[in-house]
Amino acid sequence: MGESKEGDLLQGTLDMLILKALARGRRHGYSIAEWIAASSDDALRVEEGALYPALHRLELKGWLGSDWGVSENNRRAKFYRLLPSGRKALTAEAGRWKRMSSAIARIMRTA
Amino acid sequence: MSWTALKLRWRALLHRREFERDIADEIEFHRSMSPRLGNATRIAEDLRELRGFGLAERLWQDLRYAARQIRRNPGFACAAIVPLALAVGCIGSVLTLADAVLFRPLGVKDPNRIAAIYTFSRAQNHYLSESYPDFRDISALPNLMEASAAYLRSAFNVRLGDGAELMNTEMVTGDYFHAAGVSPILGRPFTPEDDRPGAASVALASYSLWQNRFQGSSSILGSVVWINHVPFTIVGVMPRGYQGMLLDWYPDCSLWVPLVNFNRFFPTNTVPGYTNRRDIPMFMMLARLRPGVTVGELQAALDGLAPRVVSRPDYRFIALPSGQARFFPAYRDGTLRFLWMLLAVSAAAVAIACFNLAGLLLARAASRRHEVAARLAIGASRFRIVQQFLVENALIALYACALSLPIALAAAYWLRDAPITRGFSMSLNLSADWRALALGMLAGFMTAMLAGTSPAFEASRSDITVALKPRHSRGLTSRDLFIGAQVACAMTILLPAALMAQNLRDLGRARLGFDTRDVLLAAFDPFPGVRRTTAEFDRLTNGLLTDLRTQAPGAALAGEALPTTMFSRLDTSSGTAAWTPLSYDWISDGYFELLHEPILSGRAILPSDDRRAQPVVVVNQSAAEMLWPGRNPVGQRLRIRNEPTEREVVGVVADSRFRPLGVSAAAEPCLFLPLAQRANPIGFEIHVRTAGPPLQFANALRKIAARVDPDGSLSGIRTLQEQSETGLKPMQMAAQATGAVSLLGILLAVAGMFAASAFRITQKKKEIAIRIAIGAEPGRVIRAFAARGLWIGLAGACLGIMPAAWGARLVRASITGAGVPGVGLFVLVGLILVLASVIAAFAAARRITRVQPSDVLRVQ
Repeated sequence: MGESKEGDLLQGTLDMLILKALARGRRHGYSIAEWIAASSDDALRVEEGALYPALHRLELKGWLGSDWGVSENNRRAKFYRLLPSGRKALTAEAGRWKRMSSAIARIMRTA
Repeated sequence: MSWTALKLRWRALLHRREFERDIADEIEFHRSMSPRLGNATRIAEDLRELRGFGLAERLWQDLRYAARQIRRNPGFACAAIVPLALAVGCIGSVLTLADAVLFRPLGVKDPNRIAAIYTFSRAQNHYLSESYPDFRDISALPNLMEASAAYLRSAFNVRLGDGAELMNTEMVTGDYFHAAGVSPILGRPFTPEDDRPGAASVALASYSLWQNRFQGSSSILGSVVWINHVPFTIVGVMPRGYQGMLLDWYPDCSLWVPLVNFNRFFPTNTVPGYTNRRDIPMFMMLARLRPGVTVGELQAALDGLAPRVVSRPDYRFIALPSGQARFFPAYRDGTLRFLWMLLAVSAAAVAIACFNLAGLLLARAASRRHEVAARLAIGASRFRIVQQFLVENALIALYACALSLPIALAAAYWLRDAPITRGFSMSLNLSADWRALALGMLAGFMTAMLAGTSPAFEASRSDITVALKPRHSRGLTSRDLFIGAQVACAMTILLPAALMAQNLRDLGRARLGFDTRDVLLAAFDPFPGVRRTTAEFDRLTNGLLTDLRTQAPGAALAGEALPTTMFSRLDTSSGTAAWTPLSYDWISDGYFELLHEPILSGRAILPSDDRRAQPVVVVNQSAAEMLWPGRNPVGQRLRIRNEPTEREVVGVVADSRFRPLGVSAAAEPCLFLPLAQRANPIGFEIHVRTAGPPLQFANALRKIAARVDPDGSLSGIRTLQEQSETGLKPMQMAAQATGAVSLLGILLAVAGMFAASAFRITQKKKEIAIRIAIGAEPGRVIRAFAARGLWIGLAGACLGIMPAAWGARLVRASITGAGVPGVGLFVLVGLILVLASVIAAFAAARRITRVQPSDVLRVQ
């Protein structure tokens, strides 16, 4: 999958971002990637090679549901939505992230 | 795996097309929004992988793909599968044989507690069976044995309903069933009460006798069977397949009777008072140890007992654990070595087949380089390519294993009749044994997979840019290595095969010391249970000889037809010397004349040497030199133990071969005694010198025998030539087996060489065409290719020298009579292989002459 570079995301983090992107309604894959890029002011870019496997994996976990619809450019597109178990997972993940990032921030401040 | 995941995966699997379209659409949509999408094939592959059942599903796909590939290339498939199947079949059959001989349970309780007991002569370094007094003394040892038994097998005239036939019968002491740990599946076993004088005559039948004669009906219990004209009541049936403790002794035992009946079967009382004769070791003995007692403890007790009881100072008793007691001990080592040799031969066959397979797979990998490169280019992983080649390899190996089954069964059937222990056939249960066959297939499969590993990696290594262009290799390729290895393997077994062929030829020419041509042999038993006097016996032998001599150029009788593997010896003494056991034969007059054996001094046995005359003996040269060194033996006297008077030596006959060819080369001291002076005459072998092919006289012989003695039974009609070759059977068989395998090896090596050369020529067609177009002589190009065959063949042959020498040593260890290979033989075998390689390369290279430069250059 290529060497790691700035902007690449850890898998667990990517899963959380995807869940977050879907928190306010259904989106297709491209729109998820766009939302993440826009919300991070282009600091985070999601590779398609990581995005789609992650989406499918979350779907297999039962956190996302999917259905086919028509996209803004009139194409057949797959829309993902958050399922209740996914919402629960998002809450848990977000809590953990908050604890972890503040912990890391504290460490970095002391340096 | 969660329920949702399972559901989604199943849906992907069942609605494959829909799933594929969804993946394609999803990626296509993304691409329509953002053109800078990564490797779409790789993403699709990853998604497929997520939805699939992982490895299992990929394997299944690869398997189907491999099956298609094999179907599409039947030639390749045959060349890869058939040799491997043959080799795996060989291994399977040898393992089946080894299992039947060494490991198959004898069908008894706690076999680990059974020990077999023999007498061992330290002076002569050979095993003997036990005498009855030995058995009694050993059985009396306290605290070691739960039970012990003596037994003895013999062929008897058995009448069951109408019609009599010879059946092997075992006479056993009363505790046999307890000691052996076997119980009848119907009726009751013998008890010590059955083995007391005056007890009712009872017998047990074998399972096959029960099935064949009584159709498995329980009416067998209480039926009467006449054994040597003595009636017995059948009281039980032995378990299926039970053939006693010894595999190599009168196979197919049909009846068991208590030993107390011994004297009733031999009315002429061959061995009077055997219960007190320590000098007649004729019983096999087994003991069931008490729980916790080891064979070593029993041995210690036997060592304490032996000096007090044995009849000769160099004798001792030896206890063998039951695992080593499946044969008469003298045969065990030879049998093991023979099995090892067969196993080594089949292992070499597997090696050859696998090198062949590796070579073929390499060629295939090369021819599919374009396909592989294309797949790598569009994003397939190398691992996936390797996996796919390995799966194809596995499928080939699986096909070969399946095909090896009938081959293994057929080969095991052939081996069943193999005289693996010096001409003794065994009662073996060679039915398919799945453990043995599975082990053979596993070994073949693993080796085949090993052989396919390097071709698979070689295939995946193909560099995209280079592979799309044709590749030329100048140096030694792996294919050449594999062909060289095949040549080396072929050398490894061709040399022992050639060695044995040479030995067989030499032994065939070896001087037997008698003329085997045009002599018919038949065993005659004049006393199947009928009480006869010696007078009747003499009348009968005289009648036979007179009648035979009117119809054939010569006839004689002998106790044993020579060469023989008979063990018994007569204790002989010349004057004051100690007893020496000597080989012997009882012969009629005319015996030496019939076999053209020269009398060196004195005279032969004459018709006048009968019971009224002075007891005489003819000795052979070795016996004369041993007993009376430097003196004239004629006129000397010797004593045979238990004979009332001394015998006078009347003649010396030249040494001849007493033991079968290949068993032992040394001349053996031997006594020839007049049949008409035998105190307890039993059966004998009729020798007839015939005018034409011996077997044509068989019917006339039958008629004469029936006229002279209507009760007598004639059996074992054969020629003396056959008799004298019995010792060569194991070597003949080994020679056939190794010969066949080495032929397979050579054929495969030659085919591989041919294919490799042809392949190289196809690869280099353009280069050759250019060379010919600019004026190179086709002959020179051909020679260049043939030279390559020469080098590979030469290298393989050199590589094969060491293992071939080792193989020859194995042969020498396992086949008695095999000699040492000379340097000439190595050179000859090497030359054959090199020549075969050169011819194969040359034949392929001849295609060059058909290369038309214009055609090739235009196509390219």
